[in-house]
Amino acid sequence: MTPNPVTPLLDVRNLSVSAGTDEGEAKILDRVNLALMPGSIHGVVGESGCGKSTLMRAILGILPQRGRATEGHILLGGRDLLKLSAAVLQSEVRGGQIGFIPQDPYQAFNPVFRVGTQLLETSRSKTGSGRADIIALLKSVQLPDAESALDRYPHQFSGGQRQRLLIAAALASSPAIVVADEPTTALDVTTQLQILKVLRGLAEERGLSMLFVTHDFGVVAQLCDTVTVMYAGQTVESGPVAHVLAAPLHPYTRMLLACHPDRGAELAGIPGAVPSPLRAPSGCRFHPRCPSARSECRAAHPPRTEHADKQNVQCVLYAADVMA
Amino acid sequence: MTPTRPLLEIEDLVTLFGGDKRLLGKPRPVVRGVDGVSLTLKAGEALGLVGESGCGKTTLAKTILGLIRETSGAVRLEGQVVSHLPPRAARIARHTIQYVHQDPGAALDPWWSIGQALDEALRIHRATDQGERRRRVDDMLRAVGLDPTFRTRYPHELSGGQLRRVGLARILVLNPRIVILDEPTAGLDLSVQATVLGVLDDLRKRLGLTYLFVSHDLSVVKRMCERVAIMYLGRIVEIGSVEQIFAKPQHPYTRALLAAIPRLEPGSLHDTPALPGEPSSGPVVTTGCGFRPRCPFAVSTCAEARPPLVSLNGEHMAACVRLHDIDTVA
Repeated sequence: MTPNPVTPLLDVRNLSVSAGTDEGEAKILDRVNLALMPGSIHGVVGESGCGKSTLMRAILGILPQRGRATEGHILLGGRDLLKLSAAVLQSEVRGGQIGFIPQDPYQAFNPVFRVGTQLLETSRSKTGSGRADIIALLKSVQLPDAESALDRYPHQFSGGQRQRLLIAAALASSPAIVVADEPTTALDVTTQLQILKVLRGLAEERGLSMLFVTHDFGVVAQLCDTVTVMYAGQTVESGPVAHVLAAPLHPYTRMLLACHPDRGAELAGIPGAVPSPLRAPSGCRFHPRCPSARSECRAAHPPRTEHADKQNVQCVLYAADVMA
Repeated sequence: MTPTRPLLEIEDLVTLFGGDKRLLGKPRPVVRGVDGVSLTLKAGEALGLVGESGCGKTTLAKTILGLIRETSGAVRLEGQVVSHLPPRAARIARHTIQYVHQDPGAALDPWWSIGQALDEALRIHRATDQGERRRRVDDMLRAVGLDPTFRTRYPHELSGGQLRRVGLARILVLNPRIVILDEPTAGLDLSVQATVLGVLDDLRKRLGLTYLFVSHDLSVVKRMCERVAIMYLGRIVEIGSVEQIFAKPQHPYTRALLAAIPRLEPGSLHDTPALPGEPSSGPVVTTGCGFRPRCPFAVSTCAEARPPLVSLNGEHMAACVRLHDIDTVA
């Protein structure tokens, strides 16, 4: 394969995060890799407990107090975010270089302040963008009555409208990347469709680069260009969405896709449960639930191997056909 | 009971909220929670009730259960009229209808073991013999696929999927005939959801239960139910067999709802038109079709009167004035 001339905007390399708990050290992320290319939407997909929220928190520099990154790098525009001080993260990165769209639009606002007060508070302190800029953004996310929106209170907006407000707030500082945490999970499907269209439109018209965390492969299929599949704190597979959907390589990706109502008429599940990071299995953490598990799966998590067209997988089944 | 007689019949059920007088000023505005719903449940079937937040599906479920008092209309259970009773009498008359809460984790007392929680349900419903109660608790734990040793465990020790099973066991100890399941898979991962749905399906067949399956997730309803009713702003806009609704949705709202489900097809976002607005936005529609403000096919006649449900093909019915010419327009 020829090396890609474009370097990733956000490059997470071998990131491990551990947290001290009363019951011992829990390795929540185990050498996670992820690359977000400029102008694309990258999905991070996995079930509860797969570490997608921890990954997002590590990128934003808001890991819980007991959590810390033990190895690896998070490179944003060539700078390692893990080496920056809390003050720099606060003043430059969060709400500056990285915009954030939260999961629950109902809890993201303080009910007693006007929406404008809350949206302008952050954008003024970071970039000095004013009312007019925000209103222009509100129009670009197709919020009805954008001119008067800033003078209203949160309860006067529906869930979908609040999510549009939050998307506009995330864009206010002209961030290099936007991190979105399941922004449509709390919404109904017809509203979800509207929001997904808004996000896709922003990616295409403004060249927005976004990391989109979700548990729904259907949303990834519709919205994202590339995807990383996570399981129990490890990255198992990544690549262009079309390839991963058409020919999933890792047994976990295959089983997860088989659970989707679009695939297979049977009610398929995955036997067993996602392990707690305190008692994570050795080697590939999926091996106790994997139908293709071998003895060497217990020994070590296999290295990443690249297959046709940038589809990467970490599984012994493919360790033999490594492309040099 | 003759085999043709439905287990549960609901006729023109209306549940209104508000309208009461305040000390000063105008009375509270009336909100039409359930706005003239007619439904039947046949013994042993699973009927899906689908709609988005605020469409009144939970209000309808709770009205059927007797937890919310109906404003007008009739509810007949096994041929007996059980509507327009005082609240307590209504629940007693409808004790064969039971309700599984959306989040059983929140419905269970964290200080009570699973055994105590299940036992309480039996005590409330006047099962006096302790040994008998214990036997029924164990039976039901086994029926939902949990070991009887779960009796001594506490809610926080259980996973989301296990809590759903406990929630189910808690109402099954009461021998219900009709089970109303409110979003039984909300918040569960797909891989766990599949096993919970498997348990539900198995129990229905083994215990001869009848399900009213309240959900906003059409793909779940497609797998679990024989029939499905689509609700919008307190009314049923379309009802029919799962095959009919999914293969040939007729009402514009049903079409939009089905199209909005994310499919595993990259790039399908561009081909799917989004509905404008949201159900709760704008003024409350009191005349005509409630879907009119968002409907891409709305014409002036839609504002004149509420379209009734008309039969299209057997049990497939839809409430829209343009049923016959939408396909030519679309």
